[in-house]
This record gives sequence, C-alpha cells and structure tokens, in this order.
Amino acid sequence: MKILKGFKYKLNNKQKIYVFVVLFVLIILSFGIPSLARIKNRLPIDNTSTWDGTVSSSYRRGTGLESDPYIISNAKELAYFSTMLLTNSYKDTYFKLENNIIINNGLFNYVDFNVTYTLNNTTFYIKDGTNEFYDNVDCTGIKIGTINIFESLDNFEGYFDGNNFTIFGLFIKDNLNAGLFTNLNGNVENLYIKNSYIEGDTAGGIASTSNNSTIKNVMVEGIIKSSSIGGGIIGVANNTSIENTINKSTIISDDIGSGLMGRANGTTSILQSYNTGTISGIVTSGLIGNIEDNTENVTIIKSFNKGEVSGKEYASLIGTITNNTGTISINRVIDNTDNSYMISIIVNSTVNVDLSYKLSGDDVSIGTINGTFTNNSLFDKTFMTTLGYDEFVDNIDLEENGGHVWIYEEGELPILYLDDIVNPIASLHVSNYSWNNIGYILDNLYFNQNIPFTIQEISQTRPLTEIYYHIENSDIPLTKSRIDFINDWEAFSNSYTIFSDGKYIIYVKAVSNDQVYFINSDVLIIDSTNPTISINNTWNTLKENINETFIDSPKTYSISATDENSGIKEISYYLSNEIISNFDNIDFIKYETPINITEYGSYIIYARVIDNAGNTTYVNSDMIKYGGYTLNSLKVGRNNESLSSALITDKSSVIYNFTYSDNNTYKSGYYHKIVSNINLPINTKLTLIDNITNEKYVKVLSEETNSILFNTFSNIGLSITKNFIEKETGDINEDYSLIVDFSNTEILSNINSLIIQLKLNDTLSDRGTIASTLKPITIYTSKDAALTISTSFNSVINYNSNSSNSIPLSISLNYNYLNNVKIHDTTYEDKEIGIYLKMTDNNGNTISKEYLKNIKFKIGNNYYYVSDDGIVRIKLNNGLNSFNDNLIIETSDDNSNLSVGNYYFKIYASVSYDGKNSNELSNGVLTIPINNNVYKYNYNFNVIDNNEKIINKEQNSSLNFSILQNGNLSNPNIRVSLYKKKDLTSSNQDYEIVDIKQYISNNLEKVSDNIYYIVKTPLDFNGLESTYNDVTLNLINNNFDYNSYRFIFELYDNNTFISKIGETFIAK
Amino acid sequence: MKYKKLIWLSLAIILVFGSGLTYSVFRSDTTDIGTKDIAKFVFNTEVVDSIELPISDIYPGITKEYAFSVSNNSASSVSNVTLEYELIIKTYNFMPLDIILYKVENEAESPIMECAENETFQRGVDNQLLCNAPIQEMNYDEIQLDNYVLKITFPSGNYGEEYTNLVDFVDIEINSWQKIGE
Repeated sequence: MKILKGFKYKLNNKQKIYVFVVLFVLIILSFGIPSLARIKNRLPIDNTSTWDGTVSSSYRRGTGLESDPYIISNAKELAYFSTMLLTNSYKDTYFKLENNIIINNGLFNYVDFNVTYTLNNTTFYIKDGTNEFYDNVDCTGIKIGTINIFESLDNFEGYFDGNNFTIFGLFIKDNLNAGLFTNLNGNVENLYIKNSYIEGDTAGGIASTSNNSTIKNVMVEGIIKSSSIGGGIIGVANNTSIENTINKSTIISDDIGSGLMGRANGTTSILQSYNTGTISGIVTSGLIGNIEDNTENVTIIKSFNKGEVSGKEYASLIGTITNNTGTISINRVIDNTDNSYMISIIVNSTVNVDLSYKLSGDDVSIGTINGTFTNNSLFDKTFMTTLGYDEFVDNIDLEENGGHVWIYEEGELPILYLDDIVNPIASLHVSNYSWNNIGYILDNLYFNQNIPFTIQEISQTRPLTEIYYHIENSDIPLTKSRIDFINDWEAFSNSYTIFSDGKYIIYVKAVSNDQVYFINSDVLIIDSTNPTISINNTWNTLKENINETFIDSPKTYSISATDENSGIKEISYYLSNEIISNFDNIDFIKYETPINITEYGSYIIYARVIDNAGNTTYVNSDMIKYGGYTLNSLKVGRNNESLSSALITDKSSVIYNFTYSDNNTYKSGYYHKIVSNINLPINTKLTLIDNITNEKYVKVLSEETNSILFNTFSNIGLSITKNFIEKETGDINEDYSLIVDFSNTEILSNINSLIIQLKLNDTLSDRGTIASTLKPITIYTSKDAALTISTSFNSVINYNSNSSNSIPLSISLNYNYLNNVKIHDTTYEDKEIGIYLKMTDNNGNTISKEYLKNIKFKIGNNYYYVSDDGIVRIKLNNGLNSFNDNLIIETSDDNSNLSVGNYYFKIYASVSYDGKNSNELSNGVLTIPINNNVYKYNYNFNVIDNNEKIINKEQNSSLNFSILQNGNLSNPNIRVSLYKKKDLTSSNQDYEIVDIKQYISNNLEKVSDNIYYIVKTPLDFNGLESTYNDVTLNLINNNFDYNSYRFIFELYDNNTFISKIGETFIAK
Repeated sequence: MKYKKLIWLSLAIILVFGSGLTYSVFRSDTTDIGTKDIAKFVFNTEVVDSIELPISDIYPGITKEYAFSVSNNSASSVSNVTLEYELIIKTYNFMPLDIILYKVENEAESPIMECAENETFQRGVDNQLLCNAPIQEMNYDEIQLDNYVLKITFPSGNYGEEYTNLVDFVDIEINSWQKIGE
C-alpha cells in the first residue's frame, strides 16, 4: 500500500495525467479485445446476451468429432441443439459450450408455494402452468411478460462438455419429464446450471431420467419441482454414475425428492458429491430418494448432505431402500443435517456402511430396518477425531494440490471447487486479465513492469456503493475467514499501480446494497530484473571479442540460469561458427539436456534465457574448437604393423605418427610438447622426426616425466647440437613421427594403458590429440619373446670314435600372448636365428678349439667348423622363421687327447643381425652328452720335412727328416712305411703299402710286414734342436716308379698306436 | 783371321746340311746353350731353359698364377732368324687341378691351352701327361717377348681327407726352331 501511496504523491500532475491516460487506453483495449481477457471462475459477464427465444440454424462450428466437437456459444444454438435432437440422438457425437448462456436474466425463487421471478429488483409471480408472470400473487390482470421456456434436450446419446460455463435462467416446464436433458443416454460434464426453474412429473437438474450415463463436474442451483420423482442432478437414474456433482437446488416433490438422484436403478455410483439444497416431499433424502427392486449394487462414496430434508419417509442420505438384491454400500459419507435418520427404511435389502458419520444430533440412527444392515463404523460427530476432513477428501494437503476437486476450509465440510460461485457484482482488471470472485487455486501471472489495476462494476442491477482493495505481498491466497479479518482495506477510487518487483495478490471488497462481495486476483509477479545465465559455469556474459578454446574429445556443455522473482520460463541455445550480433532471425533451440559437441569443428554456443516475466538474457561461449593432432598410426617396431593398441615388452619400441593442420598460423609463444598419461621411465629414448622438414630430433629421458617440450630435443645430424626451434609464423601443418624406445629402461612393473599424445600450446589454449585417435600401449616387464630350442635326440655321442649323429633340432621364436593378443617384442626384429654350439666339461668350462678340430658339424650339405674361441656358430639363413632340421655331428677316432670323462655339447639357438652373433641366446639349451672313454695320450709328434717333394729317379739321393716327439709315453717308438699311389689319376687318391726296404738302402729293424722301426728309442723333444730325432733315408732312386709315394711315420707307445704323419713325394 | 772364320763357317754348314735335318731341335734343358738361335723362358727375371713348378701346399679354392715370357734374346744376342716354338706342359696330374695356359697380348689374357688328360693329351711312358701348346712364331729382327700366364687352380668343392697333403709337379718346356722357307 505504501507503494501505491508513494505513486500517488510522488508524481506531479502532468505525470499523473500521462499515467492515467495510458491506463485508460489499456483498460479500453482490455474491453475491446475480449478474446484476450480471461474471467476467472467463468461467471456470466455483461456482454452475454439473454436469449431472445429464437433458434439458430446451426452450431457455431464443429463436426461433432471428439477432436472437433460441435460448438455452442449462445442460447440460440443451444435451442438449435434441442431442435436437432428431435430427429437425431447424436450417438457418440461431441458437443462443447464456448460461452455462458442466459436463457432468462431474471431470478427465480420459490416463496410460499409460489414461483417468483425478480427482474430489475422487482419481483413478479409466474402463473401456474404458464410462462407468464404478473405483478400479483394471483397472477391476474395484465401479464408483465413471459419467460423463455427451454425445451429439454431429449434422447441425447453423445458427449456434452459444458467447458465450465454456466446456463443461467433455465426455465423448463413439462407434464412428463423436465430437465436440461431428458431420457439421457450419454455423458455430461463440466456444466453449471444456475437460477433455474425445472418442473415436471419426473424432474432433474441435469436430466430427468438417465440410462447408462455418466455425469461429472456439474452443479445445479435453482428450483426443481416434480409431481412424481425429482432429483437435483437426476430424477430417475438407471445404471448411471455421477462424480463431483453438487446440488444446491430446492427440490419440491409431490412424492419422491432427493438432492442428487430421485431414484436409483441398476448399477449406480455416487462419488464425491453432495447436496445443500432443501428437499421436501413424501419420500425424501439428500442423496438418493428411493432404491427399490434393484438387482445391482449401489455405491455412495465420499459424499455428504447438508440440505434440510422433510417429508413422510425422509432421511438425510437415502429415503427408502426396499426389496433389493444388490448391495447398497455407503463409505465415507457424512450427514450434516438435523434429521433423525440417515436412512429412513431398509426392507429386504443389504446395506453396508463404513466410515460414515453424522455431524449433528445426538444419535446415529437408521429408521426402520427390515433386512440386512451392516454397521461397521457409523459414528456420531466425534468422527473428527477419527477421520479428518482431509482423509475424507482423500488428500493430505489440498492447498498443495490445486488440481484436486475438493476445497478444504478449516472446520467446515469440504466443498468441491466449483461450489463457490455467487453472482458477481464487480470485476478486477490487470492488463488483459480479469477476476470476478474469490479463488483459492491461483495461477501465477508474470509482468516485467509496473502493474496498474482497475475495479469495474458488473451488474447494473446491483450498483456498487463502496469499493476497496487490499494487496498482499504473498503468493499464498487468504482463506475466506482471513479475508473477513482484513482490516486495512483501502478505498479504491480510480486506478492504482504496483511498482516494485515482488509477488502480489490483489483483494477487492465490493459492496452493493444487498451484498458484500470479494474478489481476488491470481498471484501477480512483477519481475523487471533479467535472469542470469551461464554456460558450463564458465561463460556468463555476451562478448563480442572471444577467445579460442580447444577440446580433443566430445564434450558436454551445460547451461544454467537463475531468476529470483518470476523464475525461468525457457532456456534455449544456438550453435554458431561465427559471432552473432543480431538474434532476430536466430532459431534458438530449446535447451533440455546438456549440449554435446561431438563433431570436429568450431563452435560458439549462444544461450538465451527468458524468465516468466519475459526478461531475456543472452550469453555466449568462447570459440570452442574440437580438433587437434590426429594420431594416424601406432606401429610396433620396424615391421610397421599398424595397431589400434599395442602390447609390448619393455625391450621394445613403438612408432607414432601424428598430423595436425589448422586454418590458423603459428604465433609467438606457441610451443609443442609430448604428454603422456603416465610418467615415461628414465632412459626412454624419444626420436622425433619432422616429416615436413625431414629433420630428426632425439631425447633420452634423464628422469621420469609425463611432459617433454619439443625444444629440449636435439637435432640429429648437425655438427653443432641444436635444439628444436618453435615457429612463430606460418601455417600450422604438421606431420611428426615419434619413436619411443623403451629398450634401455629399467621398468620394474607393467605399465598399463600408456597413452602418448602431442600438444600444441599457447598461453590461452591447449591443442591436444583427438581422444578418439589415441592408442594405448601396455608395457610388460616379463613377457619377452622366448627363443626356444628342443630335440628328440637322447643318445650319447662317443668322442673318440667314428660316428655320425643326427640331431633333430626344433628352434622357434615364441611370442607371449594375452587373450590371443600378441605381446610384441621388437628385440628380434631384422635379425636371424642361428645355432650356437660349444663343448663343455662337467664344470661348464668351454672346451678349446683343438679338441673339436676333428669333429664336423653339418646341416644339409654344408659343413661348419669351430671358431678360435671354441664356439661353432651356424647361420641358418631362415630369418626368424622356425627351424626344423637335423644337425649332423660327425666324430672320428683320431680326436685329440681329451681326458677321459663326460662332456657335453651345449646347443643354443641364437638371434643376431648376421645370424651368427651370440649376444641373444635362447633361454633353453640342449645338452647332448659326450662320452670319452678313450684316453688320448698327451703327446707331441711332428715330422719336419725339409726335402724337395720330387725324387729324381735318375740319381740316388737321400731324404732327411727331423722327428719330434714328447709326451707321457712309456716306451715311445717311431716306425716308418712307404705307400705308393694306386692309380695314376686325380680322382683316386688311394695309396697301397709297399716294402720300403726295396726303395731305401738303410738297414732298418723290421716291426712287421713292410713296417720298420726308424727310431726305436727316440729323444724327447725339449724345445732344442738337439732333441730332434734326425733320420736319413737313403733312396734307391731307380726303384721308384714314375708315381707318387708317401712315407708314413707312426708314433707308438710300445705297440700302441699313438699318431701318424705322412709325407708325400713324387718320383720323376 | 778372316780365313779362320771362313773355315769355321764352312765346317758348320757342312755339319748342318750334312746331317740331313731340315730344322734344328733345341731342348730347353740342352746343354748346348752356346747355340744362338734359341728361344728361352724369362721367369722370375731370369732367363731359364725350363720351368719346374712343384705343386704342394695347394688347397680347394686356391689358384696359383705363374707369369713367364718367351724371348728370342739369349742374353747376349738376338736371334737373327725367325723362330717358331711350342710350349710343353708336363704333369703327373695326380691332383684335380685346372691347368690353363694364357697368352698375354696387349694386356689381355687369352687361353691357348688347357692341360688335362683327354683324347688330345695323353700320358707318356714316364706316366707324365704331356700338353703341347699351339706353335708360336717370333721375328728375328728385334728383341721380342711373348708373355704367358699359367694358372693352376684347385677347384672348390667337397674333398675328403685323402685330398690333403698331395704333391704334384708342373714343368714347362719349350721347343724352338728356325722357321723354314723364310
């Protein structure tokens, strides 16, 4: 109120005039555009004209379909409906009112058995049996006028929706059936009948009779007079259900009269209905007058009677119940009258009563009972402690459930929301909204500026004498009792305006000569403040100069908005790739769920919020760029097997290829780096290859890190170490290969899902690698590929024997697998498998070369020999493929003097670049046992031959030999023999022994045939020439043939052959 | 003195033509080294009558090359007649050797003979294989050297132990004579 007062006194006269002119124009406009106006509670308004008695030739519009019902907007069209029903029952056809309908504008009343008609504050009398009215109770003399008689809507079988409008002044008189509907076989809802007079043999407010019908959300007020059966809602109801119905009519019957149904037949249901009208007749009641000979069930739930009932067999709820086989159930039903009985007579019927109460009187009673009556809980008015009203209306908190049909007033029986209608005498107007009575279920109406309001007089017949207003700064409506206690009403004179933001309800107290009338507005919310809005709690202003922000994976952006006063009406957004300065033609999209940016590109999110008052705020994001490096490939090792993810050993390396191009240029401060989700271990070697410039850079990590700047890489190939230099200009077009080599690291435990990416950063943004292209690698510490070797050979090789041993070898390089996925081990790439063989003693010592010189190793047709270090290395020329073939080891019986004992061939598989290097050996080793049972003497034996190799046949000559021997022989002796080539060819190298005595003149002691001692007790060679055993063979040259001869010198220990040496000559 | 010289010359003519021979045969190992019209080897910078090559210490895959020349210059004088000569290679051929004789002309080697036991070359009574090279000619009016290379190869292959410590020989001899009808 202070606000209004402030308004009145702070404006100067000119400003007041201006405001009042504006308000006047607004008011005129609000009347001139009635379609924009909304009258609360749907009461008749001045511009509804009274029926002139004519009949329209059509409905307003419609086809009768549910989606397009016939529309009735005035009394003429309603009369047309009545006419059409004479020939068409409109089965399953839909009708709907579009306006209040005034059949007669005078008020009907029933006084002293006379029906009066008050018009313009003058009461007239309706002549019995006619529609004429006179100015005297005898209805004589000159009639004053006639009343419009409406013909009942007969035999209707469709759907009638009153659309919450009122039929006012309905006057029906018929000798048989009288009601808005007669013989109703359809459905009626949402209809109000006010100030009606209905008279007939069987009469009902909605229908005189109904069959298989449903009626709900209706209220009837007026006078219903019947000579047989009368009901406020229905006279005789057959198989009919009513719900949310109210009768406030006065029922006057010559026989049966009731507030809701005069008689109920068949399956009947009354739900949430009540009567407040006065009932009089013979058999009378508030809810159902008579139930008789009914075979079906009748149910009354959550209903009450408050109207006075009088008659012969009268009761508050049901008059007489006789001879029924169906059950009558009464549940949560209340009697709020002073009548003695709730049910007058029960005969041959079953009545079940539960949770039903009587509010007045001392006793709960049923009249005559001659049948079954089950009284589970029939209480007196103390029911309040047992069953609250809220339980009765089946709703815990009505005020929070505005859609509920009941209205609860403390201490009173609940009423249906439609039962608060009185004739309005004034209306309240704000903008294009109007109200004309008190409402308890209020809507919120929003305004973004001041609210001027006016109060209008409605009824010319009841002019206002006083007008007051009261403004509550609240959105909770006052109850009726609290309205009565408002003590600061302000007199209303012209127009007032509410200025400040807030929530208001305007109350009006209008006083006419005969009535004090209250009106309230809906909740009026003034909100002149713009809402606030934020994108991702990051951006909350509308900017013209925006920055760039980069994302490397789909990202969700949420929009949040707040508004203090009116609340948020709508949040919407628009994705643009450029700055928008004018939103007029932008089709914003309603924001319901967070915005997902999933496609590569550039986006500015524009968001808009509108509050309920219409205030609008815009905000925009930075330029969001979804892009960055693309990890094109992850390759393992040199074989370039491209993988989406890789499992590798800690001896391996991987190669990434990243590309990135942007329609932007490098700028000062841009820098590159390699980023990983897990620290890269020490000694990880990173080789960066710029495929654009073909320059290579390298860095070996000296400490664990997950971020390596490019400018810490050194260029490979330059004589002067030069680090990577970041560009400051030029187009961004990059192609990098990155080799990550873990072979020199000491990784202690597996590294799972290591992800490496490139980033290009500046001070504001961070361009990463597109997440969907990232490829994880897992590094295993103990999953190296295993080089294995096996054989089925299980024999022993005899060292000093002539033997050929075929050893089948199976060699393969076996990778580890995890769930059928290969764990790559690049250690072996580009290498070849070979065989590494050595001979060892029992202690694992390698046996030197000299002991293997007479042993041959053969694969296929190729022989292999021992190296100086005692190792036999065999290149298989098979790459890394598995090898399955035989290794032949040939021994001879003239092997060296290896000590007797057990020895072994240790055979490994090896992998090396040349197939022969032994750095990489198989985990497994084959051990082939060697048995040396023959002790070979430890001796030295040599023959120095300084002779020409040609013996001249033509003159005798001699040959000189120096024989050297030593060792641990007990009785060494040296023997000589002569062999002659058997065949004069190069293809046969066989020699045959001849008797040397035929060729030399020396006198040698014979040992055996053709063999002679040449030195029987030789000297032991001690390094000096003096210990040479020099011998001369004097040749009988002419005895030599033109051939080749070989002198064989043999060392014996006693008669044990030790060694022999041959010297070959030719004779010519 | 002139008279004495004429007498000696007359005796020589009588001896030559009186023998009935139409050409002279000079063995390389002849002791008649005073004869002027003879071709000789120049081998290892020395002028020799024959070349004897003991063959030992040779193994599979080894090739030994022996370069030598044939000269019409017998140390003190140049033959004053046109000579023809032939080279003879002798060997026991006890080893599987490839023995090929190349003549070197204009720094190019051209094989002129391969010495191997076959239909052309047979062993003689002393079991030696004789290989005669094509007859060559040398002019008389200037000092001339014919250059040769003898290549002896022990071919690669798998040989048994019996092919070790073998011994053989290759001798090269020359026969030369004055060309008739000049």
